[in-house]
Amino acid sequence: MKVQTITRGALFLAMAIALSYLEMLLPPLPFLPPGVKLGLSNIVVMYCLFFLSTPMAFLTALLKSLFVFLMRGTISGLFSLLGGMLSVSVMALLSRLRRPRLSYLLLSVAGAVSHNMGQLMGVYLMLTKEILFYVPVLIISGIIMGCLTALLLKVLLPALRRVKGFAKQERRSP
Amino acid sequence: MKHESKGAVLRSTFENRPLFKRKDVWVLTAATAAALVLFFLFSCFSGRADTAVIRSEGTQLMVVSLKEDAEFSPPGHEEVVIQVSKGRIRFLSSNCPDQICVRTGFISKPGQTAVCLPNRLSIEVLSPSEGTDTVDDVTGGAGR
Repeated sequence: MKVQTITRGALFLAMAIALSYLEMLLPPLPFLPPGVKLGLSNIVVMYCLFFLSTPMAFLTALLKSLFVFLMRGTISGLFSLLGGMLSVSVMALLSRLRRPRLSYLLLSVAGAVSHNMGQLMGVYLMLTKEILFYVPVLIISGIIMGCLTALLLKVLLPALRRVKGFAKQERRSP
Repeated sequence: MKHESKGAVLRSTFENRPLFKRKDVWVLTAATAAALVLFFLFSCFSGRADTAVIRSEGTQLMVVSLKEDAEFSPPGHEEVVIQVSKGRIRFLSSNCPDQICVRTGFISKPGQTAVCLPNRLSIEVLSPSEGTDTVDDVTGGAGR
């Protein structure tokens, strides 16, 4: 593995962790059902996928889940892994579509919804079979949060581009 | 037609992708509508329930009637208080850091669950036809 890949992976992991910490600092909104989160760290994964490379996106998601595993235990880590892998896979596949060419917004929404579904699958398999009741709630929350993260990615893109050496390696020239 | 090398194909997958398309509105509306329909289907098919089962790591701890109001801690879990009120049940308090179980609030429809991951506890409202765990219970308790 190239040193550059390792350092980048570390940098993206740090960004993902910082973003999810930031998200934790936001006051919980009482009207939001449990399990509904913004998913800010998905911004980093999306940046990797859309502008760098697919393996880097998988690596970042994997490392993020490993971090959750270390901090919050096996079950949370496993749910995070299921959600993360499903989300990156779906986004990677959909972004290959040439007709119709999906917008970043739709890709982000697909990623957010599949992340929720992956986690729900984990709960279904390991904790309780009656969680299917929650599917519609998680679809809607995925749609809303996916739109928000897509917009945030758009806003944050100039900042990510400022990181030295990234812009040069991007799939598309800025 | 433009000549495309392999590199060009890869780039074109990511180039010129709009942030947002007009058609997205329809896709998102349709998805939201589908979710709402699912939601109403789920709530229509579930009537009122009168029992709930409390499980620890998937193993049945106790069965609670929702007909009588009560406040109690499940056996072996003094750190958690569960409340039954007007045919509904909820985690009243818990020592867990995230408080997701408490924020779930009251549940009353068959199939609804409230889960406290840190304490490995779950409450599930049973549908009237559904019995409590009997045969299926055997595997979950193995080795404990």
